[in-house]
Amino acid sequence: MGFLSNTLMVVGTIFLFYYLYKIYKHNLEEVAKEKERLQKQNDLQIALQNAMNEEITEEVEPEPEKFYELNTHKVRYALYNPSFEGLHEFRAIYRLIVQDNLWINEPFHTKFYEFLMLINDNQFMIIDPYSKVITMNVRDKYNKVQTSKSYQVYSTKDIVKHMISYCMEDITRFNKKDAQNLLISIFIVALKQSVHYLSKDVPQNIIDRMLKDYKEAPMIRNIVHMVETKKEKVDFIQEAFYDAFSVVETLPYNDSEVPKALEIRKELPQKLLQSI
Amino acid sequence: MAYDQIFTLTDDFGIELKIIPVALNLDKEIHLLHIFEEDHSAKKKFIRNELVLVGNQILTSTFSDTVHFMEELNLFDIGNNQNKYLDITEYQSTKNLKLKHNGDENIFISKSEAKAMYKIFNLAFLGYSVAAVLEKEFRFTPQLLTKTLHDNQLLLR
Repeated sequence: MGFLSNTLMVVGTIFLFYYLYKIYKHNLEEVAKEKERLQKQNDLQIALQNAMNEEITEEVEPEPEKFYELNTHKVRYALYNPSFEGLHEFRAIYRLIVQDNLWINEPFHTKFYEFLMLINDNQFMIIDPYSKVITMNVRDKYNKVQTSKSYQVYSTKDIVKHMISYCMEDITRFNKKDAQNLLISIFIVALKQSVHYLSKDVPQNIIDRMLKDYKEAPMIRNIVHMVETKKEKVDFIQEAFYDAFSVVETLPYNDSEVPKALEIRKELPQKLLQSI
Repeated sequence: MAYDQIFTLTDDFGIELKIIPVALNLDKEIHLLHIFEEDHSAKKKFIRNELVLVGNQILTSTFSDTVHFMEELNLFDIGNNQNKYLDITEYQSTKNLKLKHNGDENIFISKSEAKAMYKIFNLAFLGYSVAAVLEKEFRFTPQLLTKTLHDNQLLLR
């Protein structure tokens, strides 16, 4: 009896262990299966995500065609047109001063243009300080002996063009208002040295007429006075004037011709809207 | 003749003309501007005009005026108040010629100077054909003369 119950207990214990082992194994399998399932689900999700992403990028690519261009124009400014009005030679100067700096403020813009027109339309000239004066008694076509003088001159137009490009770097260091006054004073300095080709008009009269009604006139006269008295602050203007003499070509001039009146345009040309 | 001072211009027919200043009197800066044409194939030189230059002043511009000036020099004190270019003056009982011109300074010419100048003027024709100057004298206008002087940098001090 005792042996039987012992045997039973042993068999029971073995069976119990076996059963426990079975349960454990089953559990392991369950966990592995669950993992696998989760993995699959995950993979699917990633694949789905990728597919969706691809779809999105595919959609973005053709998109640029659908972009609407912004309906903006370049800013347009009211500017004079030197080429239309016969001021070909001053085109570069006009661009340098008015367009590059956007100095379109009035009354400077118009006054500057008036000076350009005055110098362009009239053959002002500056007598070369190194010129000989040759007097000649020459019979003219009517067989009359004419006494005239010949010397070499500079064209004020060329001198002004050179002076402005020479001074611009120095001028832009001043504030806008002073810079603009300095620029106008360059015209005055050059005009004061000039004689009008074939006219008896004194340059001072011309200058007074040009500066009349210009609100900055006292300031400009002040600058011109500073240049004349060789003030250091503005000596670049005088420098530019002398430099022009060494660069600009001389022209022959004979004073035998008939005087001609000064040309000043009665009407200002129209400004046109232009983009820069 | 100062060949280093030679300069050229072209006449209306495109013929190249040369201008040479011939010194008549260096002290008084009186020169003869000798304008001539050269024909290399015929080896001939033709005078086309003669101008009198005093200092910085062109005194005569045509051949006839130049010859007139020279004859007044030649006449010296035999000339009279009808002289066009030269006045007869007397200083310490010596007669001189005084140039009538627009310049500021007075230019006096002594008898020997006048004779020497007249001599050089005549020598200047040697080797040249003179007929051309009478037939087709080259006339300057003030503008053309000024341009020629400028082109040759003769307006520069």
